[in-house]
Amino acid sequence: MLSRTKFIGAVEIGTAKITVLVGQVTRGRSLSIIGLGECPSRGVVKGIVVDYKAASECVHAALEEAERVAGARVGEVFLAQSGAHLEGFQNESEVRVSSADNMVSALDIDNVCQLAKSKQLPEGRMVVHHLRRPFRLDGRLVPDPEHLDGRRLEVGYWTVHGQESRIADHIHVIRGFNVRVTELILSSLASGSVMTTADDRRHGALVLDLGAGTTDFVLYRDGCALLTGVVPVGGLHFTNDLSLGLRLNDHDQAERLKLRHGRGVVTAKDRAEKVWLNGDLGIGDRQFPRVTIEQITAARARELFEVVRKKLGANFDAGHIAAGVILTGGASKLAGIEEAAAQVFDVPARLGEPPGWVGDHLRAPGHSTALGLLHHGLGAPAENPARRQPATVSGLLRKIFTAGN
Amino acid sequence: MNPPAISLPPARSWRDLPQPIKPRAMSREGRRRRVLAAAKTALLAATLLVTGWGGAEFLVTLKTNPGRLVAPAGGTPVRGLELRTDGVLDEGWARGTLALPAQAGLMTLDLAALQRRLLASGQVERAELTRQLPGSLVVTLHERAPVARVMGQLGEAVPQTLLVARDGTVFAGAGYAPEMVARLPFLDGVRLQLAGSRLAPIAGMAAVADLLAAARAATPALAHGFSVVSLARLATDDVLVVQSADVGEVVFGAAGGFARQLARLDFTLAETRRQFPVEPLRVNLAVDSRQVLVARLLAGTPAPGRAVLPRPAAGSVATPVLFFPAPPASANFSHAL
Repeated sequence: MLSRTKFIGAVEIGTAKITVLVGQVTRGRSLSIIGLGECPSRGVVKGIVVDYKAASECVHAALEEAERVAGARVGEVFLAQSGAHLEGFQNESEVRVSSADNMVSALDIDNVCQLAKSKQLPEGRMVVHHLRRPFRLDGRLVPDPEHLDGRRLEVGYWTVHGQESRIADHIHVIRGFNVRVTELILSSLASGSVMTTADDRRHGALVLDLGAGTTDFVLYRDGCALLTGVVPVGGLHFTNDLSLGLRLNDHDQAERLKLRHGRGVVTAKDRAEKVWLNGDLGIGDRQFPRVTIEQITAARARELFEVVRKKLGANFDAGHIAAGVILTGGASKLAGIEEAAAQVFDVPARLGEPPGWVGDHLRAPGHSTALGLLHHGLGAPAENPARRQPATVSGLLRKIFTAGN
Repeated sequence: MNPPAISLPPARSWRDLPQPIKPRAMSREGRRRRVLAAAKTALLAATLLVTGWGGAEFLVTLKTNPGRLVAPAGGTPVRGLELRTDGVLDEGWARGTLALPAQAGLMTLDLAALQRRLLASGQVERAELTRQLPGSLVVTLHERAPVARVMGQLGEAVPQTLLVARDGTVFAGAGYAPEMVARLPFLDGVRLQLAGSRLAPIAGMAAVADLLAAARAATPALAHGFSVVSLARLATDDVLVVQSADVGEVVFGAAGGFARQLARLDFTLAETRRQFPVEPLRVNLAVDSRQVLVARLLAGTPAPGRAVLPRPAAGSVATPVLFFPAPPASANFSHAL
């Protein structure tokens, strides 16, 4: 965009609902959230589009609603990406400083970064993010090694890649509204950017975004994202477990029971204590033992966190997670879930709190991903690129001719 | 900066995915936005093209013929002059007054200066000049109509007959038929004064114009005999004194009601001549509603019975006698007699 004010959209295509936020970015420095559109999701399973038409209808309805509320047309979209097809691997490289006086040059930095990123992927896979970790110059951590003195420059990248067809499906759903996708950002990174402070990331933190169909996580250390991942388990699994365990045919009843009486850990002492299914004493209303409900949800919560811990593997070191575990996402509304996380990860756990500039109507944990997308739209680079490409004439022309799209 | 020493093929990124999709895969809103975006892009491209073409033309012209940039249409000479007027002036007068250079460019003309030249004649009350591409100059004039004439002298020039319009403007007059000018009465009792390079307007000409217009309309025979209109007593007595061929001198009240005064004059003259064989010398129509006719008895004529002054001695034919002609019962102004 050539003007000083632009309208960007943040779209999260979730399993349970589509969330769209419209932000007004002024002079690239200030962000105002001026529109919110939500729509129950259809055609999306575990964060993956399985029915293009149904998913498109929902996403476009949410986009239209957000634009209507904002009173502005979105020019570009920041799109959240989730799904179990996303994987990552660690890739490190090192170069010897080329200068005779051992001063690190920009060329050395470019070389070591390119070397670290140049890994071929299997057929049908494509890179979503290259997350750079801090540089090491002769073994010491440095945020920017240029002009520093040293002999050996090392850098590591966490490369996130995904299935090409599934990424393309996500993008095409947005393109069906004739809006350009400017950035594709992992849901976990988006949530993590608003639910953590710079201090949290420097001290080490694990952010878990508990969605309806998936749980996205990102582990921060030394101020950078160390690794990310997606577990295809979310809040809907809690509901399904209750449906099966309590023999409930109505999914909505199980969902209400989960929200009212479910807990991340078992606290009920009296096995005889019972709770009503609907509480209206109508036909079909019946009682269930509270402890049974808590046991079902607590077991699923514990299992979920254990799967995450297992995926983190050796990268998770409780001694380097000073900021603890931060929970967000719609499923984090389950009571006591932070206690379950604290027990499994053996570090303090808490529910994430969005920054103070976020309005009350957007402070629900289910909006954290969309908020994070807008945060990226303001200019926070998703991958901490070592160097930005200089502006070119062709790039300027492309901007001019795509301004209307 | 030197090129990177390591050149490895980068892994495929999501940015390599082609974002455009077929219109049928879009929603209705998406298709609508696509059409709008295409229209905007086309408009932007057209604007850029036109701007680019204009810039290129500018550069080429700057290089080959910079003079055209100063006055792009100035190279087109004035091919024709079209005169539209409500008066008598003709195209020759316009050409002579405008004095356009032979190769004057249409766009280089100073229309304001040309307009001033036209207005300087005095005969032109309003002038409008319009460029009509590709090479015509349209001159639209609204002329003053002459009411009377006056002898005047501008600077060292020979005294000449000048025309006076209703608004008092004094001008030389061009294009009028000599017979028409000869029918205009002369002005008397006025003092011409210079105002800059022109003569100052004469005050009171509106009354003169009204009088003459009324006379031509109501009593054309009388009007034809008006030879001099004097403004000498206009400021002091509010009267116009007309020298006429039918009456020696007629005094009109300048406040208006000329048609009525003319009717009274016409009636008085007719009645007097019918009743008495006299030569009218003077009629004053400005005093109250009465008119007093001063006439001279023709030689050998018996004295009128209603004369109020002593009969003049024999042989003294120049002694005026006041007459009071009896009006008919139906006359409107019988009360004045």
